Amino acid sequence: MERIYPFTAIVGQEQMKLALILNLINPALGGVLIRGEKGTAKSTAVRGLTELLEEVQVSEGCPFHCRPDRGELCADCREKQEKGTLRTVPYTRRVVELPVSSTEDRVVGSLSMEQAIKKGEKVFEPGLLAQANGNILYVDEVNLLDDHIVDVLLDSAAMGVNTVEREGVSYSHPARFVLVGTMNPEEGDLRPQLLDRFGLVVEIRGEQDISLRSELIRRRLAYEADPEGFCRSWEPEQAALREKVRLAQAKLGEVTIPDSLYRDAARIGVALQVDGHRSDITLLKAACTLAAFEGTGEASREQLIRVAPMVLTHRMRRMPFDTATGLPEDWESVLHD
Amino acid sequence: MTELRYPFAAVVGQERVKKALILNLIDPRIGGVLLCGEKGTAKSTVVRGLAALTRQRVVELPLNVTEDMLVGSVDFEKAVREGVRAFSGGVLERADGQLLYVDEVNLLPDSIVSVLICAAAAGENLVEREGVSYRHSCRFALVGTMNPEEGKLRPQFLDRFGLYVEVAGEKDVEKRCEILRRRLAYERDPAAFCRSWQEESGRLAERIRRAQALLRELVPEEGVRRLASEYVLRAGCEGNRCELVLVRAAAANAAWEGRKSVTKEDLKEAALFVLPHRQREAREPEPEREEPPQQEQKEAPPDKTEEPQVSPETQAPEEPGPERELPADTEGNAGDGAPPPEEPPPEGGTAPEEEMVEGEEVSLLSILPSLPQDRLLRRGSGRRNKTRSGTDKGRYAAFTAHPGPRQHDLALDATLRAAAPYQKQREHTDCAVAIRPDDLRFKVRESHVGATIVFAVDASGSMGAQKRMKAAKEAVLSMLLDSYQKRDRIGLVAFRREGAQTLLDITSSVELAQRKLQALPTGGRTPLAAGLYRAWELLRARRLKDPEMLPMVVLVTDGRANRPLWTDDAVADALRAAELIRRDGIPAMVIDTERDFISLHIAAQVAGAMNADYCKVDELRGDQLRAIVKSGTLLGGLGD
Ligand SMILES: [Zn+2]
Repeated sequence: MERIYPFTAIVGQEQMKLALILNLINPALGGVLIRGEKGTAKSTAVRGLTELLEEVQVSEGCPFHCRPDRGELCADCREKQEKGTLRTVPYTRRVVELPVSSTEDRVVGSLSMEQAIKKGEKVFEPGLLAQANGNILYVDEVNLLDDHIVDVLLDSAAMGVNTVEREGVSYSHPARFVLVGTMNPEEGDLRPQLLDRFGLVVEIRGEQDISLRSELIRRRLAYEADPEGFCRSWEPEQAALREKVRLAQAKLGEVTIPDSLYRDAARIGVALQVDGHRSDITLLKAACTLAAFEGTGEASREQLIRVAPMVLTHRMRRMPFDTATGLPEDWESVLHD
Repeated sequence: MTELRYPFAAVVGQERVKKALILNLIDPRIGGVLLCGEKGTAKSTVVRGLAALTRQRVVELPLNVTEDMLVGSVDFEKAVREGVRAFSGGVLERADGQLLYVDEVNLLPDSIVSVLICAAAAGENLVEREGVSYRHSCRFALVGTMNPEEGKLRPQFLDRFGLYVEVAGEKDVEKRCEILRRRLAYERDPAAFCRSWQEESGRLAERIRRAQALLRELVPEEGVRRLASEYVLRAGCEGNRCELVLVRAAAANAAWEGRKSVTKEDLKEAALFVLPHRQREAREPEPEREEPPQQEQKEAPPDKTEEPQVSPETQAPEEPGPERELPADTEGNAGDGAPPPEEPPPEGGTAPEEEMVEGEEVSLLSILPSLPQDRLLRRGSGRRNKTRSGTDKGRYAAFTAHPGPRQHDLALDATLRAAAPYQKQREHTDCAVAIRPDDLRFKVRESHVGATIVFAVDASGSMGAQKRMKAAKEAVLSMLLDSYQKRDRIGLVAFRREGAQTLLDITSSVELAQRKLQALPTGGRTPLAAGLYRAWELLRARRLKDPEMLPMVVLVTDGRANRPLWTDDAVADALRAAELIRRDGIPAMVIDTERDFISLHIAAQVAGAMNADYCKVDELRGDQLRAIVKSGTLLGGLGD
């Protein structure tokens, strides 16, 4: 099997890496959209998440790999649990890729052809959303995906459930996943309404710094010459990051939010005239997640400001072509009474 | 999924949203609510939280629903096993007596909307398809949420929602903080959060029950009904359901307040829910309305290129079901089983109510949100929104036995249903179902088709004068904005000096177009013919690849053509190029930037030759421009 380029060996692109890590720690952040030109390590970073994902216990034989410890079970698993026959097996979380050419049937699931014709039975055949449950769902070039498929994806991501009413099957199953999309804005944009559904958005550009660029090339060549050896040499960093993420996941529930931080988040929302409340909520959650990652017990204003661009840039009311981000230079002035 | 929904009672603010939903719980005959507002305002959270307050269920209609799953269809499993043609109910059957909830209701495909309108109007679902006849009662309160930026609704559909509420985000910092606190507390521990709100939810449910009981003894007086008619007439609302809904909502409001009589205040409050989405502007003749809803439609029409054929279904061995007329859209059918006797609303606008004060009425109308139709109502042919597509893209909307060239996109469910009834007679190998070629059904897909607009922009020296170029760029930019929302594809042609240049081949990146436009230099002569010809070429090439696209040309020029293309007459050549565009039936629009005192009117002539809409750049502000594009006048010439 081909070795994946280690996440920790990616040079620069700190915002993108942080956004991805925050979503690993807290799947409730609502996913990441990475916007940027070709050749900016977008896919490498997303695929690199694979090696940071942990092993969990899932229900045996379940196509949705339900996790009894999380309490979200499909109908079958719930039945088994009531009967006391639910058994678990270890399962390593994965990055599931959704190709741009995917049809709706493949994504949401459909009537099983084999069962129908061979046995005359109506059986639901799970689609990509089933595979995605509990995992990371990666859509490269998400802007080229059919509109209605994007709608379905974002709907499931928001609800954590995939409801199917099609082709003779009525079915509903858990579909809780972290949606990661990448796109090149020069090939068309996403509707603003869809942008809003992504928890975080990062804009990336090719690395401008000469020394970083040459480092990037050096590592890439080393990886291509000897993938196995290269990955081995990065294993200590990989292990350290895995451990740090694990720790943050455990700590996340205990991070406290000072009263003033609620006010800060609300004030930013009002001052920047973002639509609705999704951004306030995401802003606070992202700040808490960052606090967990950095091992501080309480989320701070400084952390809030650090995650603000990822949360806010795509939610501000501005002309779509404005080049300015519209974000304030001086956050303190926004947050002051 | 036994999920702990965010409790309705814990929703901060949004009083009008909550009230509208509660009124519907008190009297489901009100017919539901449409919640319309910006993204991220917890619209769906409020609706889903309702379930805990009532014995009614919230039945959700997912956007991926297929028509047969909505109305019900032959149960092939039963057909294969028992050889009987049994009906298996759809979402409409489950929705009977319940709340039917559609999130993002404006994204629902046309075919599904037609079925919904029909069922809601009739109060029953009548199925005649695939050889089964079936009829069941289906009375539901329709609850929809939508973000108006995403698309609009047909007037008949709008009218199906009893009440209408506009939702906006909370602007008050303190309230926003409270929203945040509760939301995060809920997400951390849903069970504990719901427990802490249990008592409050219980109180709310109890108050609703009391109101329901009170409503039974509450009969609106003659005066109230008269006043309701007056309101409706003054607001210029359409449809006679309007008064009824208004009176019912007012009565429910009185019951909610614990009163036994309906007051004018009740009526006023109700009016703000009932009238806004039914107001019509000075009645314009509705251009080419959608085809009447076809609930009984068995199969989608075959591809346009195909001759219509008789579908094998109509030759099925069973007797074809009797032709049934759908019950008329009368109110008696739309409520629940036993609607209280209602008098018909008073005729015309007669008998002005004595007790009514003129000034009051004016103030009522003036507080009605100004014509949300502008944002809600879909105009024009609607072709710009959805269309049947001849490709494998798009959602599975219907099926056909005559797929044309698309023989590989099998609609398995429909095929099985077609084959199921004959299984007893057929020879079987090792499969439970024997399928023959004439059982095969194929998917008909429906997908969004935006327009493909080529902007031909004059960048000659004459455009440099008098800020013409600036005005032109502004005009094009504002149109690009609209295209951005609609996901149109665009191309950009500039003409100056010796000829035309394709600045941007057809793309969906509005951002790129904008950048190219900003950087556009001006100077030199005006090769108008070349510009038009290039625009035509671009669209023609595109059409070969994508025959279903909706092409459009927008020409921005001062008309001072002085560089010919084919002959030595620049104006004649321009007219000839315009003629090409007209002949291909490509809708066009000309924006004339000429501002001189002595006008040559060439742009207007070119517009005439293209059969294009024509306007002067000074007459256009961004909003108007967008309105013109939206109104579909540009697409008017396209026909169907
Ligand atoms: Zn399961």
